[in-house]
Amino acid sequence: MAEINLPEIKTSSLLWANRPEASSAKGEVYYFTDIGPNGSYWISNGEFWSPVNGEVTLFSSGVETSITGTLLETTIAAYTLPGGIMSKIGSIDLYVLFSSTNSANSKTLRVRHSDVGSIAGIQYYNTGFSTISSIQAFCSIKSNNSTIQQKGYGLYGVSSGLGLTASIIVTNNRDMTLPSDITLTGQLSNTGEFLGVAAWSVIYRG
Amino acid sequence: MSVVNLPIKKLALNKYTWSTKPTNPQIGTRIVITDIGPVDEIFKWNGSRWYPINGQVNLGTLSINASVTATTTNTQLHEVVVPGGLMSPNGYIEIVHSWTYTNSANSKTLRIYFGTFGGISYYGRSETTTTFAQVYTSIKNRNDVASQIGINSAMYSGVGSTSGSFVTSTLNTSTNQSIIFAAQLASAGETATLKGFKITYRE
Repeated sequence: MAEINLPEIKTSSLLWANRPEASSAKGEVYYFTDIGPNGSYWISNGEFWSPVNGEVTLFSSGVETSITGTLLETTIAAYTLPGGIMSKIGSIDLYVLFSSTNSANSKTLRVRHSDVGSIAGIQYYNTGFSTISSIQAFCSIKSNNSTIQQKGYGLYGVSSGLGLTASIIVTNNRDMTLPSDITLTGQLSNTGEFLGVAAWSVIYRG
Repeated sequence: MSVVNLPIKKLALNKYTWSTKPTNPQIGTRIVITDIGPVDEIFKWNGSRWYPINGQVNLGTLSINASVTATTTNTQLHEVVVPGGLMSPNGYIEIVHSWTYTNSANSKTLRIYFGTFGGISYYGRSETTTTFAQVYTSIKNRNDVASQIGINSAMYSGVGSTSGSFVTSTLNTSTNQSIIFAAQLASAGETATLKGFKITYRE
């Protein structure tokens, strides 16, 4: 029998905004050039797009940023989450290395999920503290079996974002087919001090 | 009607080791690296460097049971090499590691060095009257392949708050750097064991 030479499988490269409907691309792998620092590979299950092997690093930065000179809650760092990434079973996971003036004055760090350009969104992390100089924290925003409902860890007091809490689960109704901002904010009680982000990353799993 | 059986389509990628990978291929070229991770890993060329697809690669997952006993000398238990050039300026390494040790008042010091044995310690705690530790340790490049930062090495879980200083280093990750697990006993009659770890690189 004669051999039939098939071409090497190639993947199409597209911007995320130009992706085909998942329902029309079941089983197909695409390379989206603008998702992740170097683009990323996604596969359709016929209902939604999922990163190949289930996860993608959307953002990673070791650039130190900080705030000082204000008592207002102020953005330290932000990442805009493209609309349509988060499926009904998806999870946005943040790993953050915070820095702070070590003093007796109170400081508050928050992670908010907001409209693009806003810091008015719901809080998925909130820790008030004094006399510490750094925090390594985990924060997760999970779809609640819907692309317009989310939930996350209890709000107050656990600086790690892991472990026990008396707080109830945070829930929210945000349409994840639209872009949104993940915003790390700080609030000082002494304008002569600082709060910072030494490094952080955003990972999507789903 | 006869049935024609077509061969299964395969993603045909050339295989290399990290040291033999091409140095200036066409942008977008994908290859398989055979000596990073527990199985072959796919990398892509962006015009200046090879990066793991979707921004992460498993550098090692091991259930190991490497122990130190009968000595009070600081002892290397395991080493994983981070290949030179793998880490981007904003890339970072995550290590989830677990240990067991004798439950006693004597100290058992558990460490993770980055670079060389006895070098910069990104994890280093002396445990006494407990029996098990599971810890998250992260080593992050600071927008520079030759500058790193991590949370204070004495944190028991690796997450949460501390008044301790950051760990920093200025190791050039464009050359090979090692992650080294080590332990040291205060009493030679006791034992400390590295039970296992998972190391992930992300960018």
